[in-house]
Amino acid sequence: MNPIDYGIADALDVPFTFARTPSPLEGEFRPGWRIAVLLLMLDQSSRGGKSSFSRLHLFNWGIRSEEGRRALSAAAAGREVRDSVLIRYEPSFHRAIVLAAGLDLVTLEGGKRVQITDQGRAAAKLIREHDGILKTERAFLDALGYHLTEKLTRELVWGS
Amino acid sequence: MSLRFRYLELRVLTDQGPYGVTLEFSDGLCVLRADNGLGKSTCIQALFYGLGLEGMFGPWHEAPLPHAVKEYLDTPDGGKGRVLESSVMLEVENSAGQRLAIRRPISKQDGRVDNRIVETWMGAAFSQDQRELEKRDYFVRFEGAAQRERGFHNFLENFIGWELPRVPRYQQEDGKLYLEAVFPLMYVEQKKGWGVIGADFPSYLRIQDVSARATEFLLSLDAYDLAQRRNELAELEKRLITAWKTQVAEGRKLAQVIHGIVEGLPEVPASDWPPPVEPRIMVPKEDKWRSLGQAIAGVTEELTHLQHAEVPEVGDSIEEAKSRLEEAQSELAELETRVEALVEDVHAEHQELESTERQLAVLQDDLDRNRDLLRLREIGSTEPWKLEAEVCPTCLQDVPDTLLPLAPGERVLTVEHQIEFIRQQQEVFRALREESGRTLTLRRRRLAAANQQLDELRDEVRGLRRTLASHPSGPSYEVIRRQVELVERAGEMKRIQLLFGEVLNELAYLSGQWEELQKERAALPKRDLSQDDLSKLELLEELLIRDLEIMELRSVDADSVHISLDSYRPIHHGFDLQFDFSASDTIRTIWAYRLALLQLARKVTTNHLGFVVFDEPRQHNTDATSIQKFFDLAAEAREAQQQVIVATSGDEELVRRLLENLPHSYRTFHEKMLSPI
Repeated sequence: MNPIDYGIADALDVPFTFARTPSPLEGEFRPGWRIAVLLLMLDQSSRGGKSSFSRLHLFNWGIRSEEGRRALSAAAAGREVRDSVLIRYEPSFHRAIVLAAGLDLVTLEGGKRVQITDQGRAAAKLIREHDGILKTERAFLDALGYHLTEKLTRELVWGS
Repeated sequence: MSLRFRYLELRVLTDQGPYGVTLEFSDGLCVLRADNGLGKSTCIQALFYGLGLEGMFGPWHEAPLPHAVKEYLDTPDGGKGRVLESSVMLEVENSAGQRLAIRRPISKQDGRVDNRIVETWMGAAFSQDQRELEKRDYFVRFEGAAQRERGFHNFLENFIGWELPRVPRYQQEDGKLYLEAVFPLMYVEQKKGWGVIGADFPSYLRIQDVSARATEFLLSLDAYDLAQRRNELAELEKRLITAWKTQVAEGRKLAQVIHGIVEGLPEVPASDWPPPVEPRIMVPKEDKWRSLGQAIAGVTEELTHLQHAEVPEVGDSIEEAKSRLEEAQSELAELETRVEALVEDVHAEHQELESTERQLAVLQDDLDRNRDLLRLREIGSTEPWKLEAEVCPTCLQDVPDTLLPLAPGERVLTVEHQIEFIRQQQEVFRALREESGRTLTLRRRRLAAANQQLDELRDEVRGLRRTLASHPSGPSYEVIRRQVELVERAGEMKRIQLLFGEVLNELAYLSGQWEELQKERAALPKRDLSQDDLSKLELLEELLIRDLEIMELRSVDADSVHISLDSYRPIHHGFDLQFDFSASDTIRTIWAYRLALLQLARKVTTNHLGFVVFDEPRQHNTDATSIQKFFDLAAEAREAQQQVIVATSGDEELVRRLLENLPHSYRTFHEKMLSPI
């Protein structure tokens, strides 16, 4: 054995572990961020605080980029949406919804609809009281109002 | 300069009718007693909220007041009243005896109230109902509220007779010492205020050494004038930098006229002039760059040559013109290819720049989201609901902070580290953007120069053709055209050269000024307390020790406590006191330090406003004798026309007994302070 190697191995002859460096993660994949946005979608832009999964996925797709926001606003205003817009279902968003249900912020109705709870409403209210938080997202939802309906969702997602 | 609180009214309109509370404050010791939960601290906080000073507690723009004035309040019959609208009305008085009435909204049911607007009247608008007074609106908690004319804090600063200095800040330009940074020395807040002996200064204002700067100002130390001089120099520095940058930009503009760039011009002022590389304009010549001087020499040489020879007749130069035409045509074709390639280059670099910009936008979005997340955590921390779970509510397993599946053993960065990570990437991409911008300019100049050359070649081709087509005994058209062209070009380049020389002269002058500034700055003492400062601090120390002795400090000899000449806080053997102090001695020292600052203002000139507010002075943590002494000392304020406001939940009997032989004013509440009106 190389004497130098031996020296190192000797010096290291103590119990040790490798710690894996934590990976970076975009803010939009943090449960806290995504759940906060989910609550705003239900509280601000869904009648009765209730929405279908498809509609929420549509929101979720649209709200996160300038391009998506423009496309959804256009659709809600009755304008044609370009074909190039590819609406995606995202497993991570689904996870966020389930987690939100676990935290009693929403309830899942028969696997088809999501309903915000009183607790969820309270959280959304507190968020809205703080001007600086989720500015872009709120401005978008404010402008959209209730215009993105379930019917429109079906047209956009299923083309009918 | 001074400030006294005179009148406070909290008004809450609910769907169950109006509620309110009114308090008046005299000089001297004012005691407000009520059991916990009846709204005592709300009133104390409202005093500072009314002054727009909630920034003392943190950067958030939310009114730091409880739900009773924002959402719902408990009605006497055990029900709940929804808050429709609420506001604070406050009257304060300055040393000239002027009264200022302030009304600031807290909340409105639809959430649309703008609590950044403050209404004011110069007079007792509320206590004596002088509503006919002229009303003026100001804004608070808003960029510029401390400086701009309609900024409330600018106005308040004048009203109390302060002139707040500029102070150095972290990672940004100097800024004004904010009111929010000085008031903590006159207010011991209910929770955090009792944790530190100095004062709980807001750190988010990014003022360097905020505690020392604020105390220096409050004590009106000369150390302060020195700081002022430093600030003047900083101002001068800023002006010089601006002037310098203007000249550099001017130089660039000149170069651009002849498709050139500037080389060797320092971006920021340099005291050593001329710089090691002589600044000059470079112009492109085919694939290379040459100095403007060389270019001028080249043109002049050709011109002289042409001017010295006689203009040839067409007949004599026909062969020469023909072969030159051929040459020029092939040069033209070559140049056209080069221009195409240059257009490509510019385009490619442009795309590079755009992609960098896009990446920066993505990073900014992500940064915003991560910041949102931190704020969500902050505001949600005291709420019953949670937006995140560390443990799965259903299966009780650990939940990682991500919506994406993790590899075994993988962890994600914390949000704080992610922010750091984004910032680093931003730095890299900003550097890339700068580099791309520079490259793009170079390529554009080359392209412009090549285009100009293209035009010139085309002119030459046309000139040669015209020469060949004209009468053999006439003068060569092309030779004359070329002369005219060269004269024009040489004239333009010389003009630019001259103007650039003026820019350099101006920079040489600025460089001299810069050098002087640096010298003067280096000559300023690092930090200096004048003799007056030292005796002032000595007096403060005496007062502090006396008060500590009176209140029977136990942990150490009162004598061994000093005022630090660095932080101006009480220290013991060179250390902050907290470490070796019992809880009760910490409380005593907080009392004594704040009172000593007040007492000092009676003896020497300071900027103290002559009031102290103690919210819940933790009397349970000390013995009855100490609290008696505290009240004794506080009551001295009346004679000095100062004000000490104490809010306490102490036992009614005890408080009465403590105040028995003291000048004071006293209000006690046994039910919710906010009551139906």
